[in-house]
Amino acid sequence: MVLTLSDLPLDTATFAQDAQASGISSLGLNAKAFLFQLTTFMIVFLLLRKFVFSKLTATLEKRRGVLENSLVQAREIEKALQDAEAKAAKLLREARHEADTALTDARAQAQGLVSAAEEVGSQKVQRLLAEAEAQIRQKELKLRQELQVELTDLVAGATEKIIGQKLDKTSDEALIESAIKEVTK
Amino acid sequence: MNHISRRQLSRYAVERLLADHKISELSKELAAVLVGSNRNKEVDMLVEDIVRELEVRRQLVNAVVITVHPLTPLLRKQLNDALRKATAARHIELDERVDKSILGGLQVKTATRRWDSTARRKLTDLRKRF
Repeated sequence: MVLTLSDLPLDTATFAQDAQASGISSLGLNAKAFLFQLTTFMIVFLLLRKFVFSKLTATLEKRRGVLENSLVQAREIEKALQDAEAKAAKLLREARHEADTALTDARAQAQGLVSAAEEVGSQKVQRLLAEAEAQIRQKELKLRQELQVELTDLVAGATEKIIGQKLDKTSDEALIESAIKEVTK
Repeated sequence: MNHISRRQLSRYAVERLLADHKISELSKELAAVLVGSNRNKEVDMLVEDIVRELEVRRQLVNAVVITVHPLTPLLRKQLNDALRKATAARHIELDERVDKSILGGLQVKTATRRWDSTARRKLTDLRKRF
């Protein structure tokens, strides 16, 4: 069975009377007290607004400004840091490049020095060899000359002995006769 | 006092000799000149100069002959003739000497010339040639 409003056993007049009689009071509020509290609230609010809120707002504003500045500075610092990092990276790249270049140059220079030293060494060796060869040739020549002199002395000595032994009076006379012929020439 | 050179003296002596002056007198004159000019030590050199002058004038050749063995008469004659022919001198004197060191052959020295055909000389030439 479906109940309707009219089925409810309510007395509408009573209900209206109760509603009019109670009003805000029915909510448990006292109008006077409410007004008083509202006034007090307003006064307190105005006082706070005048003496507290402005300073508080200023302080907050100041804090906000500080924070914003800090943020700006932080951003600037971050940007500077990024710039510095980029600059450092660039410097590092340049340094590496320069180091590579210097290393390459140094290697090339070292190779050049080694080649030059080898060349000088080779020339020195060639010169020493030539000098040694010349000295050997000179010594050989000197030895040959000494040997020739000794050989000549030996031959002459031997010839002298042989002549002394073999040249008898008859042979000597023949020699003298030949020498006398030389006188008339 | 004018200074007389040794050459002048030798020429004077040769001329006097060729003029048949006495040798003893000539010797005294020469000695007097040398002593007077305080040249006593030049006597030997003066004699050499006189011999040279005689050879130059083809009057006398004094030849020193060195051999290993003494010369035979035949060789001596041959040498005398050869020297006479070579120098055209009127007189030849041989001063013969024996020296074993020349090994063999003959060496002849006069005042102006020298012939050396010794075995020693030939060996020396051979050694120099080497």
